[in-house]
Amino acid sequence: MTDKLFVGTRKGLFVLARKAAGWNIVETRFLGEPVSAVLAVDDMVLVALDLGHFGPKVWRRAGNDDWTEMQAPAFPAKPDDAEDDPHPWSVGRIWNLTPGGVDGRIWAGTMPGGLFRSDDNGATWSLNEPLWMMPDRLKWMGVAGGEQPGLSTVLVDPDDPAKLTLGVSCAGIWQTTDTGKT
Amino acid sequence: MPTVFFTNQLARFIEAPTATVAGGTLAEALEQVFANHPKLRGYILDDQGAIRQHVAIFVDGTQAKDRKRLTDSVSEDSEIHVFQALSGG
Repeated sequence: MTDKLFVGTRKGLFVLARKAAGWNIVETRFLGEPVSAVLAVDDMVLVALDLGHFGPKVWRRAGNDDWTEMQAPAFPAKPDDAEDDPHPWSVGRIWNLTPGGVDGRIWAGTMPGGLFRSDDNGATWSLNEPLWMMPDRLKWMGVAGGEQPGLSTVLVDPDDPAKLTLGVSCAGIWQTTDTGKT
Repeated sequence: MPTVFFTNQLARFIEAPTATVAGGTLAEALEQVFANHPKLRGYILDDQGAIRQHVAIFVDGTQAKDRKRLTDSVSEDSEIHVFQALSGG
């Protein structure tokens, strides 16, 4: 049974613990800042912030260590032949953080539709290029509340970490069975 | 030498002290700051190195014109101010 909850809100991170008398807030962090995603795995907590003016950020805490800012997912340099891409090559928001089913692996779905992978518990990230470079991606559309497509959901098959199912608003459902190679 | 000032808002997240740097363009001046504070880059510039949409940079009181390549000239005694822009309605 879960005894701790990590709640990300538009106004910060709230940590709740179950006590005999019920749930209590035992910690607050990033007060006033929009928390766009939270992931707790064992004693590690990974938080994505959407700072608006200053962009998306990733912070991590392991065990009783202090919170530390990690490298945020970022797109590589936009090539010259990508001028017709209607979407920016810059992460606007980290929409979800999902455990990859393998030690250290975490997937991040972002706006404008980029899928990023970490193999070091969120310290560094790399773009999944097969999905981003797919010609069909240029037809993806934004959703209400955001002008860009958002990769809002990443589901990892519990029996096969190479099989991912992605939900993109508004671009449908996409699936890979080879860890994103195709 | 040009001096770069950062909005105090940044101190909520990251160290961004006033810095005296060398450089003849805004890009060169900021690169010197980022060399000492690498994580600060992502707060000011986007993934392609352009000024973030809601960040405003002024060189001697005039807003930087080249937001993509930061080629605005700075002089020996320039003051560069990095602000968060007023956004929303």
